[in-house]
Amino acid sequence: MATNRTDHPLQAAGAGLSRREFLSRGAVATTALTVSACSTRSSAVRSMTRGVEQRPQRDVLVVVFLRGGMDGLSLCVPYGEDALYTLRPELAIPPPGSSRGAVDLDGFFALAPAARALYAPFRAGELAIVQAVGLQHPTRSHFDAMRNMEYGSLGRAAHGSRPGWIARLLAVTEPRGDSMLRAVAVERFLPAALAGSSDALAISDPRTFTVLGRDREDRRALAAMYDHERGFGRDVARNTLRTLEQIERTRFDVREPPTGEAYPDTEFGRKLALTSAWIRAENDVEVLTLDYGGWDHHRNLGAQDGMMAMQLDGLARGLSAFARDLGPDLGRVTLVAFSELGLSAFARDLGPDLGRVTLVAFSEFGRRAAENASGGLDHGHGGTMLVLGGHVKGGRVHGCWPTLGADALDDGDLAITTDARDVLAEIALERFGASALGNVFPSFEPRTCGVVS
Amino acid sequence: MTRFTTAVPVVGRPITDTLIRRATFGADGEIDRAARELGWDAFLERQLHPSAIDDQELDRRLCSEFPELRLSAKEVLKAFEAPARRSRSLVLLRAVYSKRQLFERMVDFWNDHFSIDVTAGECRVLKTIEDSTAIRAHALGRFRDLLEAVTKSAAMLEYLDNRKNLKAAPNENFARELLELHTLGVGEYDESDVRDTARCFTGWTMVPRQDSRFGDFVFDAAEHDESPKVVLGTPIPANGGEADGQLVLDLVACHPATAQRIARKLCQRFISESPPCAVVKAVALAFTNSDGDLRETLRVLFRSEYFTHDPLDPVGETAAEPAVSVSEIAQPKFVRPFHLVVALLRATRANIEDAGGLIDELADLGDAPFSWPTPDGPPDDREWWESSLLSRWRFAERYARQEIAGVSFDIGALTLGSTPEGIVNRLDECLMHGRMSAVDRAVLQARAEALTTLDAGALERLLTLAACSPSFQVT
Repeated sequence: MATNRTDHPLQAAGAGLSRREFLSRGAVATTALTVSACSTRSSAVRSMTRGVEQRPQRDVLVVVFLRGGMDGLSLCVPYGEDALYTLRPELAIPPPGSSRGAVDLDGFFALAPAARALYAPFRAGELAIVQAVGLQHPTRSHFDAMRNMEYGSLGRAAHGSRPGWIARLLAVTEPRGDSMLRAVAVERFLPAALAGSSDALAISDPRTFTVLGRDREDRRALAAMYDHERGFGRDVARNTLRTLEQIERTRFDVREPPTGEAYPDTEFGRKLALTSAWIRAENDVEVLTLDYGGWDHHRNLGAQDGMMAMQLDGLARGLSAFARDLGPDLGRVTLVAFSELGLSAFARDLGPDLGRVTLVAFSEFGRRAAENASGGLDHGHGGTMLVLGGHVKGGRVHGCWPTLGADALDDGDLAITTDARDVLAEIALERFGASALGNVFPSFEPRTCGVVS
Repeated sequence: MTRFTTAVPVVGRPITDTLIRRATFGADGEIDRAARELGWDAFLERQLHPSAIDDQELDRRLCSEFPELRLSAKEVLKAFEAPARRSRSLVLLRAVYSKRQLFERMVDFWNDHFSIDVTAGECRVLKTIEDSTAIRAHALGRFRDLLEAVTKSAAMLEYLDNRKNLKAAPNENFARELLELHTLGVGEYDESDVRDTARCFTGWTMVPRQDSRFGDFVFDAAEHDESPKVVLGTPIPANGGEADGQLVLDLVACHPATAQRIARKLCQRFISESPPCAVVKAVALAFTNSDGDLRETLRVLFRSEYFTHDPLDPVGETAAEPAVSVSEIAQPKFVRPFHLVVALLRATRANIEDAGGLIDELADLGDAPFSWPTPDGPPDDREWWESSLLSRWRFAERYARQEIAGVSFDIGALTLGSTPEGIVNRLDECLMHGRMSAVDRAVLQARAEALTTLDAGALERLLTLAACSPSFQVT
């Protein structure tokens, strides 16, 4: 595919930066440096046979937002702590060994029975769990906390005026391929984390991502109308129209995993199957985001056989199917896909299992340590993050456990000992090759947390 | 029905197109004609007094097709398999066909403000009742009455769990959203306000579904926390009973932050995504001075220069110079998918036999009524809605080809004229009320000229393009 580098997404993103004024002046300058360095390298690439070495090697990043405030203590149960059973006499999942007890992970934490499908990837070292993770901000509002997560910065002043953290991640990294489409939200709308990126589109199903297919002239007319439009939709229209044919040409193999159980028959299951199809299709999409809502259990939590159990079952079976879907087949599929792009060295470098994928799942906050009188949990603080992939230091529950002791709680909630941005920054650096982390998470100094290698 | 007589100026300023467009879900050829006859003031007053507007045609239809409007929650529970879907159809039919257009827009506004996902729990049967007894009953009334009616409605008690807010360990869900979403806004209260507000509303519950009075509000004194509380710095003494919650509603309904927030949201809905502070301030002041009288609040909003001056109509009565610049007035406001769909149905004088197919389309557009998954309601955020642009185009294409089940329209009537220019003029008039941008017009006309025969297929394609155009995504 011939590419005109002057119309490159990176430059386009740069234009987007100034238009939306989403970076501080200092950050813009840094970004500009990054862009110009990339451009120089890009022209070198363009002038020679398309080489392997120049292509950035990075994972496909899959970001799952568990919206609504997932109760991490019902997923990864700290059964080693008696306080859990005092705070939640009705709702806590019994320890391993009891009737309908949790599935032991390490002698202190255990998986909810409804999430037992995660046991295999955990044992295989593909899944890491981070406990007591979140953002150090006092808000207990869903909407404030979600914005904090999506903008990767704290407080309302930082929201909306700049793009989300994934948009920034795309802006500071060189595209992996020639595609105009670097990120896809497997959703109807673009989440705030991707807002402000001209490299991203919301595509709920690529197989129906088509319009005005009867006559090329109709599409041209549409492009002409939006090209001059200063108001609604100009950038999205341009992005959509230039990507339509590429997507229409691509074969999306939406399937069940070749081994084991199928994807759960839920919206989230369908989104994961589509995500896998995107990864296995011949395209250069680097980031996929998807939402899984429904975690706001103020009443009738039902971690054993109610709503929460259903949610956890969907999460666990979904992620497990996703790992198997990509697992054994990925090496071959990747080799085919990338050898056509002249990236066989990169492909050979990949492990056979989930070699080039890192998936991270998190919520805006965890829930209140103590149960309420309606069998539910109100909004809390510290939460739980899941990281799945081939280069994950899996089989471990990461993070420093703050305990559930009365003094250790943060206004009645699990305290936060790992900043969510520590994990995201580590993934961005180690698995996505982003070095300008200061632009991705402004005013934040990430610490190494050792979740990915 | 005829409570409202003409206590308004009969002769007044001529109507502006901006007022017609923004106070409705789009012109349908009828309301705009009537508006021009009435003039500016009479039109606004008429729309602010919906009960005086004859809507019998629609009422008769709804009466025969939606018996649930006369049934109790218990009866609806027994009678219908898919009450949620029916409640969505009802909203769409009213938005399209009601002559009380400003009222329907305000109902839409409040249903978003007090957003309830009709698929949650028993809301599928309870939402329509709340829509009638709370939202529609008070959409143009007093905010304090509206707030109390919503708070006591079974749908809200169910949706935000207050029906299970028990004194032993209160459930904070409703209390938090009351402060954050229904009134003050985040940053205007702290966590202890949330906790004490929750305690004030312990025991506010409803009759359970086993009973024939299913859904009726009851105060369960045995479950009410009678200890003293402090909300927003106001001490609430012990043993207040149901009055605790009433006091909180008083406090938050007349709080300046609430006035500011409601005013801002109204201005965002009717004027622009980032309305000027001066207008928001004036509307907030009207809200406060009128003790939350929504009719008075809207009167001030619509009397701002945005609606009294028509930038495209230089012969209009624009004696005084507007305080905001003409270009600012002219700034179009994007429309959400629901509004877009309703506007297209109205512009094409659609005949909706069964709204089900359109509800599926709206779900695909991410904007079916009562479907927003979280209690914050859909955002008035252009960037968010823009990101699903392709789904709007797909809808326009399917609609123009008459591929949507249950709805039809006469494309011939819409595209009268045999010349390319005549057809484009007619599309502009029907869909955009003469506001099609020069670029859209040029492109559309070129396309019309390139089509060799202007047969039904060609007309379909031109209508598709017009409905896909940037000019039709705004109002």
